[in-house]
Amino acid sequence: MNSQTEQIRTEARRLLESGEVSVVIGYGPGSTPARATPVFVRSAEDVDRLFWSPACAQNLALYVREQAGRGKVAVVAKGCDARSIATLIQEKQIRREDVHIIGVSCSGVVDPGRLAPAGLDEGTLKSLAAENGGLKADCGDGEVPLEREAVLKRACLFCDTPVPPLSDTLIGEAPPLQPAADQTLPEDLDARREFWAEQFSKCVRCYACRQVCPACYCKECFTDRLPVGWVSKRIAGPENWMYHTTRAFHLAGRCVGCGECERVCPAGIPIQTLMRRMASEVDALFGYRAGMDPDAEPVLATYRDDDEGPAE
Amino acid sequence: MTTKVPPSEHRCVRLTESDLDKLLPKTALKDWLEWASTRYHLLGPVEAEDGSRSFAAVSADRLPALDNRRQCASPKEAVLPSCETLFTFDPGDGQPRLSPPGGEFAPTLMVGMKPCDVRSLEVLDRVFLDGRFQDPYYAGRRKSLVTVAYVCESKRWSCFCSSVGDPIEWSLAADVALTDVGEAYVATANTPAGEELLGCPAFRDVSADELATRDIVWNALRERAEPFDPEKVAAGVDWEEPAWDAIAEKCIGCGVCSFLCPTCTCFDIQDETIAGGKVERYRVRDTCQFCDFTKMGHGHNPRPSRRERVRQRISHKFKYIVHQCGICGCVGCGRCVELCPVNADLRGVLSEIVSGNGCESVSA
Repeated sequence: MNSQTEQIRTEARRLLESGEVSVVIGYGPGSTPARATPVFVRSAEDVDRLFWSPACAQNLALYVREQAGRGKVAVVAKGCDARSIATLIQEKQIRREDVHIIGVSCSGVVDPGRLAPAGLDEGTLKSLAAENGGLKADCGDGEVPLEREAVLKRACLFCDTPVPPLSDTLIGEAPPLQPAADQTLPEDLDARREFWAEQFSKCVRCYACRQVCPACYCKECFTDRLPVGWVSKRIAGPENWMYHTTRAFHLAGRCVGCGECERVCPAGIPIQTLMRRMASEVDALFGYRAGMDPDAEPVLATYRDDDEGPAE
Repeated sequence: MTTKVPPSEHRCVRLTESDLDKLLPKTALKDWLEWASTRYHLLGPVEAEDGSRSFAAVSADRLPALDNRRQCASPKEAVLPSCETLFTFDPGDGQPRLSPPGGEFAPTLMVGMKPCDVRSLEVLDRVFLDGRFQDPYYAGRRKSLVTVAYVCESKRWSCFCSSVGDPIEWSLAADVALTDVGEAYVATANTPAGEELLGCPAFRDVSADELATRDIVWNALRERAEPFDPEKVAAGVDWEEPAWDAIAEKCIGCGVCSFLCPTCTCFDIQDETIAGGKVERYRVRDTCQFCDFTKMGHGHNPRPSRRERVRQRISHKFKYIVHQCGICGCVGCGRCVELCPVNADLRGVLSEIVSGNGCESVSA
């Protein structure tokens, strides 16, 4: 058992035994060592269902919002997840006093969908562990190092908040890592339009990107408002384009870059490339990064007289 | 509830002769596809740059990937496209006209279908061809499709075909089944169309040793690995099953499991005004996992929460469709197992239903 698992369980036991929280939302082992699944622990006797590993990909802030109004909850949160929680607090979806954040410093999580293309057979995987910012796996022939670039959730490669900026309990230390330089898109606008047209044409409209996103909490998404007809249900290039670009605008200044949308996309659309671009625009214009401060006003929900307009 | 129906005849013409097995050296796969391409449009598993797989055009220059890796998208796209026009309506000048989409379906050969993929077509056939009504759109595509199965050399970690049926029997419902025996494939023809495909000069006679090797592969694939039985699942599926609460709590309500499921058939029908004042009616993939799927015109939703929605999907796959169509709706392909965003492993849920014991996932 790694020390993070031990500390998560100890903290969960304390929180449940003292009655401070009614549920601890964390990760349990999934189908293979490369996968984790969300677990909801409601009794101190069950804390051993919790674990920590580089397979803990999901952003559990999603469930914190769903539990809102049902008393205080505790949640295991990576840097990105904690930023999502901060965003939800800023947007008054949850109250700070209703959530106990068990923050875990993270050096990146694995995207199991990338294992096979990287030549790894997930079925033979015996263990997966993080070590000094690196990864090691045992596929039956002893532990070998894994190339982070090949197997991590892509968004993790660009991560600049491996330590949760907001937490009540903090586990682990900052890993010795630097974020990678972002993928550059074609400068030529027509080429860029062509790139995205091709990507969006692959969309199957399963809405996994929306459903997995803690910031996509509209009670009724514009895509589901058929009588209004913002966008038709037709699964085709222009409609898919409308869906993805509208979602990107709705998440500008709100997306924390956890990359879950991209990880769960069955069509392999590089959604985060778009989201990071939106985030960098907001940062450049307003000097604002989503979810870094739960007390900050949401940048695009406020107005200031001295706001600079867009460059002419 | 409809009564059980026998399978449609057009796809179950089994050959009785004994010389239905041929050998295709792996180096001759190219020649066979070249030969077949004069008769059929060829589809097969193709790997994209990012490593993902889909069914796309294959040829002698772009060979299908024959191994146990699964295509993310299922073969249903070839017979039940995610979005298709049903007809267009032109109000005209007092002369309203309704036009179905024109065009014939080109004869298509789908090479490299896994046994589960082959079986999934049987499930779709029961739904779209064998009931009181035949779906003409589905029927048109289906009847122009000839299938070549690739019997997996081994199961992936997420596969559970042999727990819900007999993958070899399923493979033998394809027109041709290929089994890897090392340097070559043993090709087994199961229908007249398959026999015709084996008439290509690329095939050689097969030896008894090679057939014995094939049988070893077949028997290995038939071995049951999972601790559940579809009949026990069907018997155990209950509305008040506590497993529904556990899965609904983590389910995020996306459409991944059903959109990629080879046997999920649900669609929505929409009318839209298109250019020239015409109206197009199209159908588009839909899923019982979406919150508005059962929302009625007057606003009521009989499946108001995820609990009812996950219950519906699993109950349909393992119980309702068995009553309606006489076939288990799950083919054990494992797409939902591998692609579920929250790793709500279906096998764990099924084991829980059968055993009544709580379990997070199969390996936990």
